[in-house]
Amino acid sequence: MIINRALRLTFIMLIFGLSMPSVASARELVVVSSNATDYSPISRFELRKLFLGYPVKQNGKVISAIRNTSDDRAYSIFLQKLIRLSAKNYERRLMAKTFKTGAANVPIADSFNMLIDDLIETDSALSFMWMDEVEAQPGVKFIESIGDDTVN
Amino acid sequence: MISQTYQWRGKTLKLTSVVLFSMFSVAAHADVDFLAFTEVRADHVEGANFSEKNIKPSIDLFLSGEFEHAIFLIEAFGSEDVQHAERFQLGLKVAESSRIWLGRYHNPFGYWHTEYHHGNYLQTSISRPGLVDFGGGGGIVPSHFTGGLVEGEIDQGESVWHYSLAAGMTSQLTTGGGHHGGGTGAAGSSLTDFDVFNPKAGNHDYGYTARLAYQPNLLDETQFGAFISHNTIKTDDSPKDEITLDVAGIFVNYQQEQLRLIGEVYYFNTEVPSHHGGDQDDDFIAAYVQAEYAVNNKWTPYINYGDTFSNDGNEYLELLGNYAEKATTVGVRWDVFDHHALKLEFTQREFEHEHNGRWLLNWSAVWP
Repeated sequence: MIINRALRLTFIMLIFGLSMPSVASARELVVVSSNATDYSPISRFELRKLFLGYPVKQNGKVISAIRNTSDDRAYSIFLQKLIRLSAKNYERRLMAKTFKTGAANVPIADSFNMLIDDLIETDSALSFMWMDEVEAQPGVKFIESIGDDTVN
Repeated sequence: MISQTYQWRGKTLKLTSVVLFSMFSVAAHADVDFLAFTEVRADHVEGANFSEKNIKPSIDLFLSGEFEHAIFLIEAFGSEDVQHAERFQLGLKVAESSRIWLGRYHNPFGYWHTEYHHGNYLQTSISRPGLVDFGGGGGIVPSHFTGGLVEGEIDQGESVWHYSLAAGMTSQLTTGGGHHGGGTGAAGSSLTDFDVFNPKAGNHDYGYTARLAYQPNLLDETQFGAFISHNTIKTDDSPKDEITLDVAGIFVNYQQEQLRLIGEVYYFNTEVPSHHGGDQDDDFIAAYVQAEYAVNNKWTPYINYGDTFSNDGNEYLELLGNYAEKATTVGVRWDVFDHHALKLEFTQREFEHEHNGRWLLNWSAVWP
């Protein structure tokens, strides 16, 4: 009886112990803009369109996108959950579009500070970062969730 | 040989200077994209000798940008055999999704030719299907126009229409071609496009092309469409004689996960002045299909089959002796690491008067 209880307790603790770290470390990746924007909700389709280099308009204003490559994990979740292409195929598509039409490629920010500066300076741009980073940055705001860091 | 090398270096330097000068001139004021595509290609035709001449490096420099509504696009290609300003376009963005261009640009026909051009890294295979090959490589449709181009996209929910309307100076038929893409070396004429840095407007007449493509989902790559193209082609051996070339075609690019199928069918009507007097009014059909399967992120085997129908005695094709009337290609692409690919392929080709097998091996890359 005692052994059974001990086993059950151990099992519960194990489950609790295993699940706790993942809950605690699961970060949410979100689409962000500068605080100065007043965008209404943007659909998943429009977000994909935007990050594939196609123009999206809201309130008569063209929205642009910035690829945040400063964080490998964030970029990987962005590709898996929003773009649904491998990094190679995504970059090849963007490059092919520019090469074919001359249309500007989706710009890259390879450092977090550069990304924040670009978002604030270009008040019609969207990008993505972790939710905890948004909460720590007064100049940017949450627009839409992309997903949790749960895909390995 | 030495003087040829110096000439090549001189032309390449000139083209590079134009691109670099343009880049630095506008970089301060415009949003600019710059790409450099490099390639080293080795070819071996069965039964022929293999020497260092069969190994050909080339570079393709691309620059595009916009400043408010003004847009520009410059592409320069350089190899030991040929140096060209491939595209030299100045234009206006009249809306977010439509552009008006003036200059030298890709004749917007079909799928392959509008999707790929130079920049070999972007296409899966090494060679282009014979039907859409460049003029000097044996191509039978003019590759470039110099004139005006209107192009754009019309969104309809998740789908999109792509349209292009082009009119300008088209190719000239020149004797003893066989550059720019590697022909067989066999005697024959080839289509030569207008050169903006060495303009000889009198050698070229006019052509136009209209193309419409439909993409059911903007975010996927599947698309299909059709085009028509009319060309009046002057010949260098008899400038008063002109060939009339009309082409109508349909095309599809179908992508389902790792599988990709590309197919194009073109109908040609040709009017060729006959040395016996009068014109030969004839028609024929040419088509190809390519299947690719991305096994994983690194390996993509592919196969291409192209054929020409009802072309017996067609004088236009007899003039273009480097055109492979029938070809089967099998190959594999290995994406070694980011932006670098190694490809190997074998093509069995049938020309008007001969047939052969050709091996191609290349390394292609894009920078930065």
